Amino acid sequence: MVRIETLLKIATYVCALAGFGAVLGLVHPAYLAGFVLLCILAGLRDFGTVGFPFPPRWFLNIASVLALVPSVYRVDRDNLVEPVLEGLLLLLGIKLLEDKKYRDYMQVCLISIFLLLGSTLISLHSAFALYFFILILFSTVSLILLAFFSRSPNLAVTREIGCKISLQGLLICVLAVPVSVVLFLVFPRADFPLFSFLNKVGGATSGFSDSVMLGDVSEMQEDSSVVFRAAMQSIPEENLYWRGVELDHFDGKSWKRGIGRSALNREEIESEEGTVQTIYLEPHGYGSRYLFALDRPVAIQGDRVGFWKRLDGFWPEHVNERIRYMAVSDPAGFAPASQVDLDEYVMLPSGFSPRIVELVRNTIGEAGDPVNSIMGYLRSGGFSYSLAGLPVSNSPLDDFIFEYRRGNCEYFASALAVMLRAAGVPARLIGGYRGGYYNPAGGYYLVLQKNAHVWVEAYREGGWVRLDPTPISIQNPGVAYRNSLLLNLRLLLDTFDYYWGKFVISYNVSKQVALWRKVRSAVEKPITDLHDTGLWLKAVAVCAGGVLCVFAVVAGVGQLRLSREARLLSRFLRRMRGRGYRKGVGEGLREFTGRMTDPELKAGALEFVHEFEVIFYRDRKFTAADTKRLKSVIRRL
Amino acid sequence: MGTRNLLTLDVRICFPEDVFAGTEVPAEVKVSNRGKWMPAFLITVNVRGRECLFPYIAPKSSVSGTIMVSFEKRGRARVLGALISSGFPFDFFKRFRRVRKEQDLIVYPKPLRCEQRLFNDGMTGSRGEKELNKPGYESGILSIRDYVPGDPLKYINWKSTAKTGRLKTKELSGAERRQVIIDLDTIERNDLERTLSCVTHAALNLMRSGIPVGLRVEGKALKPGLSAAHRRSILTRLALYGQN
Repeated sequence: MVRIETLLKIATYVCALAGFGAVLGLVHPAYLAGFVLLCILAGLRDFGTVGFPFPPRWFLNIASVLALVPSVYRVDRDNLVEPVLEGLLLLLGIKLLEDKKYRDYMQVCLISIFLLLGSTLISLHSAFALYFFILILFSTVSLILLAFFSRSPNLAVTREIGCKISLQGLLICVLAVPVSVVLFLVFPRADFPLFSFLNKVGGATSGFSDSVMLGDVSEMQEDSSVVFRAAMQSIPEENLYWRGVELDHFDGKSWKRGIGRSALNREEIESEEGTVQTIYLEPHGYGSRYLFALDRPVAIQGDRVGFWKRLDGFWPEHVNERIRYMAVSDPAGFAPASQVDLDEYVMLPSGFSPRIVELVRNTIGEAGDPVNSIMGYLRSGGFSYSLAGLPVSNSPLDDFIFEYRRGNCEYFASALAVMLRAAGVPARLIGGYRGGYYNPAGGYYLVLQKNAHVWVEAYREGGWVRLDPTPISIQNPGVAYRNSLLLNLRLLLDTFDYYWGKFVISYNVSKQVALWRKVRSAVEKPITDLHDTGLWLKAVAVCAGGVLCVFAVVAGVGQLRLSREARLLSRFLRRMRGRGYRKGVGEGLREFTGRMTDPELKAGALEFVHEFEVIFYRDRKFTAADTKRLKSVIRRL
Repeated sequence: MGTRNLLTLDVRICFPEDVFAGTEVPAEVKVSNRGKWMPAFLITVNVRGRECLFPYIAPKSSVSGTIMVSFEKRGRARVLGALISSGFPFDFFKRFRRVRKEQDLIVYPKPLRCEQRLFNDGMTGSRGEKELNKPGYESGILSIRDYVPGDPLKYINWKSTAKTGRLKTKELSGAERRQVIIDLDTIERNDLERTLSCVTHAALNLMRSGIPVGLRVEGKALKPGLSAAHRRSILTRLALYGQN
């Protein structure tokens, strides 16, 4: 026997843990630790052998109020959701610690649901689905058990009945699915976290930025968050450059986008043939306002972003929500361009580092090709890739080239671009991402912040050519991650994330409107064209298949409910009916076989009847072997 | 789901043979689930204001429980049926269904020990000896009847009890017996109900002691006897006295 209250406690704890899981990573670790501590104490009290008394209710009430004070104090316009979630998490832990009555169980479930819902205000991670299903299932089970508990707090039932009562929760959830699907399809919804703009992320991390600042930080942290997923065919690794922003203005320490450059400085394109990608761009907290596409993009089209058909690779769009767009790219490294003001791309700050200018002059020599010479210098001059020990000074490029000789892609690209400009070759920096991890299960590239990259474009012979001076190094986070054992696991889990975003999160108001229009047009203009037999055939086949499935299930379950001997007998009589003999009501089996005229059939039927009776009338159990043997006798009839 | 939970239920209420007014008696409540597939959950059966909870009733099966019920007045009583209810699944709403199964039963007067002298030995029948030194439990079995609280345990017939599932008591005949006839018409009746209660107690007591008891009511007489049927006849007459 098991007490209903024990089952109720188990279900309630699962709810609380699901609520906790939903805000994992969204609230301060101190609050997470506080909850874990309270939960362990409560668990020991409720399930363990530790018999310490329940704290008095007044004490816990005061503790709840005190727990809320820091959260209330921290709430402000820019930080609204997180403190509330933290306060709720502590309240949940305190609630678990109470000597739980009806209302306490109810409150635990409600707070857990609030935590889950609150988490969606700042994150749309696919783990939500997991916690959602756990929470919905177990809070339903809790409510059912609570109904039993309220009727009789000491009620105990057998384990089997306890399981059956709990299974009703699952049944109710399944019954709720059709309604939920309808609500999902028609209910207005946002496909981005509503309060995400309040939770900006700061700090120096390796990620995309719309400017390159040299000499500010000596060490970069890796960031593994997803930037975008690009659904497309797999292409050679060397072409995986995801273009974001062009940086053409250099002030000696940093690269920025040229002031006054029009975002709509579009150039006509001759062809839109190329590699087609569907990009699912994640909202990320870098304040970025750029769309990414495989270098070089020739057109971009999407619900939110409109249609862009350009060549210069600048797609200004604020990205603070998840968006989806299609891009067409020409992955060749050379992009022809005309009417470019080349003077802008050779500008250097006045009096800029005479040492570098001197170095460039020496490197190129008299008859050398500046691009190849400088690229060769950076590749063979003892430079190495590093994210740590970066130069921090007012002349970071000098320090990089002449002293440190180690740096990340920003230093390599800046050095190349500056040296090219010093040599009179128009050059600019391109910010974006390099590489990505192809997920064959989903057919897309996963691109992380750690893939952030900066490279150079130099203007040669009527067009821009891509130059990447950064050595491919194991030190590079993106390259290192490729060799990581975790990558395959992450890609596997990310497949779910991808489809979750594609089918659930991306199902937005515009798609709802589109669906509504489809339904309306179908109602207004129903399919009356009987010549479209293919459609009709499909519809009929689906309906017939559904009906057959229902019949099969009902018949199958009905058969399974019969005993083994009853099933055998029913099979035998069915066979006999097929041969033209129907057993009368109350007619004995031997009497029945006795009136058969076909001697062969009669002998076979008698064999079955004899074997059947030997087992049945001697009160023996029909074993699997008996059933198999008798079935073979029936088959021979 | 909550409505379906109640739809396939049947309720049967079995009262014990002897129901005395003002005394709680155990009524057996049997709830059957006719449904083929779905069990019934959290069913409360209410009979005359008393409730019995059935947490789970499997499909195509029955469960039994006991409700202590009492009837205030003697005479005919009509039980209209039972009210079944369930808050399943969430107890947010409670659904009710009345199972109408009218059932008539006779409620006997409440037995009451009285000092009042109800009968004269001189009025008793002449058969047998007056002086009865031995109680009438030694000889053959007269009948087997339902157990009545107060019967000596050693006279419980275990074989019949095992067969029927109910406690049964052997009724033995005494070797020597005297008879008592209670003449209700001649008994002083300032308080009729109290008198009937006293008579009931006396009759039960005498019969339990093996003394055949007869009854004369409104000129009609019941011959002295000891059988269970006779006992029921006497109690029924007392229960319905003045109500026809």
